[in-house]
Amino acid sequence: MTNIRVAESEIVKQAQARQEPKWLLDLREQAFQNIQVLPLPNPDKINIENWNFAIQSVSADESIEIPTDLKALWENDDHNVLVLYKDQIVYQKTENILEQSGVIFTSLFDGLRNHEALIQSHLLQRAIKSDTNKLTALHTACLNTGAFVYIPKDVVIQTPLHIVFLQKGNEAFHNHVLFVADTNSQVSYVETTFSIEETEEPVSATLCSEIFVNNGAKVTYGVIDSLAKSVTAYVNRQAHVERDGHFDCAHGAFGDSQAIFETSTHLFGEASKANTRTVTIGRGKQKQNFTVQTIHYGKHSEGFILNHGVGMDESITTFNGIGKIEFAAVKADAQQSSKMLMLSKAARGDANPILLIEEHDVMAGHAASVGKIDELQMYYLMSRGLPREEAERLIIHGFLAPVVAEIPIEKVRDLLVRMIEGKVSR
Amino acid sequence: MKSTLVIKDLHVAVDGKEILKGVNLEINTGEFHAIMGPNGTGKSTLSSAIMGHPKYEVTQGSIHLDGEDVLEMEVDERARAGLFLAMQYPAEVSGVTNADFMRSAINAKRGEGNEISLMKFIRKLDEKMELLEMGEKYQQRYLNEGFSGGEKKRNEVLQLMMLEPKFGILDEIDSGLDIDALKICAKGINEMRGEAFGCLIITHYQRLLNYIQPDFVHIMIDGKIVKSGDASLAERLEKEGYDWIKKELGIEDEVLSLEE
Repeated sequence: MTNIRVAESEIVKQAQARQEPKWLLDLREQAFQNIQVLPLPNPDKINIENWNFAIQSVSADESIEIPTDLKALWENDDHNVLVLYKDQIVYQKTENILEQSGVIFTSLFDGLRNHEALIQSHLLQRAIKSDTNKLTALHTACLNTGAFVYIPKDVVIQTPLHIVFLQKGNEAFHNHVLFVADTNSQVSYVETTFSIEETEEPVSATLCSEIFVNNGAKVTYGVIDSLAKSVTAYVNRQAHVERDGHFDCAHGAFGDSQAIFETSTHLFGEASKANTRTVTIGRGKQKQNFTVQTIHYGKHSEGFILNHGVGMDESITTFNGIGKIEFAAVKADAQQSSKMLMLSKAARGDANPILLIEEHDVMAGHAASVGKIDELQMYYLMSRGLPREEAERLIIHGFLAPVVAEIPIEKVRDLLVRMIEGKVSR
Repeated sequence: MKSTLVIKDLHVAVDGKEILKGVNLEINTGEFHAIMGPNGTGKSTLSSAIMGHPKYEVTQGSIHLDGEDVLEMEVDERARAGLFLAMQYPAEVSGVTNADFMRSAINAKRGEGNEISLMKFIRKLDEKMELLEMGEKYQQRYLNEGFSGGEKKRNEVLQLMMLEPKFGILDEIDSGLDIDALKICAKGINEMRGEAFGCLIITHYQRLLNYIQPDFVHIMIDGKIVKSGDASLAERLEKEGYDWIKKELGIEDEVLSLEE
């Protein structure tokens, strides 16, 4: 891989202008050095040595023009919404109840100014460490956008929280989400990431999320990314789930970027539960590699992984599903199901189920398949009068429904349906 | 307006093996026909061939619906022309709700610009589901996914009632149904009776015909319709089995390997 040259002085200047705390500036400084010495991550079944993470455009330009159809996603809607571009809050609308109950729902940099201690105890310390690999180091060094969400103990928020992240043109995008749901809180959260003013120039992106689901907290967590074709992305999402915590994650990867995804859920607590669903559509020459793993430490912990991918054109999509049960995680249950639906002969799809089990008294299971649209399903639907294309369309939407139907915001769901239509229409 | 489905000298093969060996049948709207016969004689093959199942190859003969060549049509065109097959083993489609599916199917037939209004659709669906004693949850459940055998059959009858075809073909709609479920399905099918609807009922058992009275009964043995009559024919079969027909027609028993 070409050496990643980062405009260190420019980044430091921007960080200082934001009056970032010293510990973060120090963390960045260490990371600048680590970029050069640490190895790349090494996901299964793909070689990313030649992937272009090298280009780092760090323009100080803060102006942005948001397309009207994108704006429609949050304007005149009644959910809590935050629109972020770089370190700026472009739009914000929240119910009074959030502030009254002590919920923090803001940009990472605003959070650093107002809730520094809370962030310092979590950021890049426990779930993701800056010195894990070259790309986590790159992420830390170049961090230029992000969000901080904190739901205090016992607070139950009914209306979903929605954050929109915007990546513009050729600008590098290093986004960090720190999400903490404290003891017995409940919340439903959705983040959507879009590229605007798409260019031909290569863009490097790292998206890291650290999610803490404390004792008894219940979190439904929706993630939709739609980054442009010119983007090369590293996505690392780590969730820690404590005793009786529930983490329900629905991830739709609907962009055109080349991307590797590491989604890990650590079921530390007894009777903790995680349901991790990922769907994607690969098109063009897009390469996507997903490692979705659930690691069981807690007794009676339950983990379910679902991966569904549609393969179009000459795309390559790989799902590595890992259910790992550590010693002493008695009565843990690790299940997974991965399916690739191939719509093109030239597309490649791979579904690798992996179970790593260190304890005897557990349940575990997996299913994996790669195949074309089922002819008998087609016959059945067509026998009711649906033309072939319409029957296919229904089957594809149905295949992606495990994520789409779970997104709690109607406008986002409608957008997803339109995005899917756009991607699979031939 | 009366419609007619005419099947002439139909020969059908599956995986190169001939199952139907010259079937002739004519059904008009307003009529209920039953096809009976021992296992493996081709009854279900006939229904699949009419609908256009990809595995069934018509090697000879013709099927016409009001003069239109059915064999020239794709499966979906046959459906839109007015044919409906209630299947023995309906497919499951995950992620597609029963209600969305039925609305798409109705609209596919009605065509663009003439879609059924949501209110009208829901009213009709509620009404038919009540008649079939199906709970409301079946609207939002995924199409046949996790349905029991009986639930699937009831869902087939529901679709028949929602789509209102000219001809309904019921492929062993009674298999796997207990007597109460059978009565409910029969109630739905009888509700369809009228000048605009013709029905072809395929069954092993006379039992179903106690609840759905046929106007004509045909007996199929070894890929052919060997005898036709009225409802009394079914009653005689129930009492005496098929042996007297085989004897009367001089048919030798042969071991048939293909299970329907």
